[in-house]
Amino acid sequence: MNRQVAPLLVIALLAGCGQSWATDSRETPPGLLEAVQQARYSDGFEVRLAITTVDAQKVRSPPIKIAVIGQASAERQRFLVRGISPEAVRNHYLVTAKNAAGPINAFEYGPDDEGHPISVDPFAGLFKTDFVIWDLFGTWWDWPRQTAEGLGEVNGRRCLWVRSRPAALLQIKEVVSCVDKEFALALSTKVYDSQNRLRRTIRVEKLIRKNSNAGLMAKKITIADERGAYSEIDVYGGDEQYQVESETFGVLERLLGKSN
Amino acid sequence: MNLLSLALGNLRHRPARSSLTVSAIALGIAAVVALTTIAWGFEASWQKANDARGTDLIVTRTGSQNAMPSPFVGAALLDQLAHYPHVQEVAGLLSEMLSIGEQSPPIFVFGWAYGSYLWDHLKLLQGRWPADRNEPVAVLGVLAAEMLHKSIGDRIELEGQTLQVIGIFQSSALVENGAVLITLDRAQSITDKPNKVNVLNIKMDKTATEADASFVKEQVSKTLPGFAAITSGELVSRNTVVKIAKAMSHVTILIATLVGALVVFNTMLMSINERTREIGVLQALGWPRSRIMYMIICESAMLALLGGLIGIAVGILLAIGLEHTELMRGKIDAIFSIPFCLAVLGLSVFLGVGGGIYPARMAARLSPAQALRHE
Repeated sequence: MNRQVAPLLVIALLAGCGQSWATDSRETPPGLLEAVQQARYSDGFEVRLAITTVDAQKVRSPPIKIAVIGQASAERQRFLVRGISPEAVRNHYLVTAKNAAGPINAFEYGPDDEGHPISVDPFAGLFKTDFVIWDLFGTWWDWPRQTAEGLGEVNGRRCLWVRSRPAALLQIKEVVSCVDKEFALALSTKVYDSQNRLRRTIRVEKLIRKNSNAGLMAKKITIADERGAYSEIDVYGGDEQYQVESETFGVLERLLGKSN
Repeated sequence: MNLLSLALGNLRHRPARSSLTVSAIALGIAAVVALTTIAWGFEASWQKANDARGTDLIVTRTGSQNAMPSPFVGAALLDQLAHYPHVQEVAGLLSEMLSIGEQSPPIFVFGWAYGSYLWDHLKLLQGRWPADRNEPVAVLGVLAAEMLHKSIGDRIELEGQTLQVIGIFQSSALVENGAVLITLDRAQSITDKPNKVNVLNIKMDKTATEADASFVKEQVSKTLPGFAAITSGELVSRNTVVKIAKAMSHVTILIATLVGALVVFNTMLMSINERTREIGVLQALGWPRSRIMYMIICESAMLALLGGLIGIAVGILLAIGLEHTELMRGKIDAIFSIPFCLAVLGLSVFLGVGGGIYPARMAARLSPAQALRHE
């Protein structure tokens, strides 16, 4: 059965693959983390996003449009990002995948160099925006230390703050998310680096009902960086039941096959 | 001096209060008119588009409530539907709101099955229709061509694909005049939805009766789980945007009714308080209570009538203004009808009479002696 899925950005905020959850005295409510995991699983989805970057002086750049195709399960997540417009990004691709316990592999290639993709840093912003590949995978939901930090409110919706910390020191030290318990949806996500600096804040600004009517999904998101600049991401199209063909991730599979 | 001119004179003696009351009523009525005509217009323009195409039934996902029904693979269903009795043709449609270029507001883009009946109702004003299902071309509705400043031979960019404008058409439905039309195959390629459609349009043959349409509906519901065959009216009325627009219009009517009645009530109550001695004199002169009540109600009804007339005019102008904003142009077609305007005027007078009844009763109950002693 084809499951109804949340588009990319919801997945980005909710992703998680962990099977066991170590908790301390401030335990997260039972079932919440599992619900968050379930919400991001998908047999196939496609979202089209318009990303507008606003710099610290409030100057807006022309929007960059991208399409993201994804598949996510407990065992594996993989995404294909395709640049739509402007000309500079058109038919530039990024393919990325992560197995349950493995690292994130990401490769980029242009319209004419499918045979020569280059490996890219998953912590870098995509097409010079604040849209970061690492966020797509929501790796923090897989971290062993998850604590509930009390109730909060984001854009008028009640949510529960959850602090996620990795077992070992990583490039990202901590992620704090405010999760809407009813829809297992992170409304706000703060990402802190190893120096404990806030790197970016991802906020869901607008929600819409899924076509399946099975819940809510993000329609508009902002990603603000530590300098006061931010990116507005508008989900303007997509398909909750995208049919992933064998060739959809063909390049990725060939690259991963080679690297193995 | 008759009673009506006396009531009018009373209102004229307090121009500031009367004009403020009229303004408040006019604002409420204007909001009712603007929102209601737009909500109805939005619904009607979509239904008109479906009716103009000659579509008798639409097959869509049962769970779809968003502005665009969720896409599904149409080929297998299409074959099955085509074999039902009296089904003349089944045509797939894929539509999206997309921006043409980087900065323009989104516009409707319709992908229609090449060679299907959906194209038949359009009148080609210039150019030609697509030559085959995959030709990378677009035809523009007359309003879309005007909004986009495009003519035959120009190019437009849709989701990174460049299409040549080869024709400009006119439709009896506003939403189609404001849209970009491409073949279904091209739309599927542009939006990366291979083989998918939002809806399947069914055209029944000329001998089909309502019972035949009901039979198709029943068969779809029995044999195609997750899908429903509905009329264009049903599709439009299920649309969330239409539901929200109508709900907003209903809430506005309710609020405007309450506010309008309270404003008239307050104005007339203050007026009577100020005119206690005057009412006492009228009673001393032999005016019956019913006549005093009638005078007060006439005053409040006049205020509401004037407010209603101004409100209707302002509401119509507001709706026309909204129709012509860049964002809404070609998407809504506000509907104004004389029965609707009369109903709104009736509502306005009802507010006036309703808001004036209690103050009128108060005035009529005054005893002449008490009223004449009032300072």
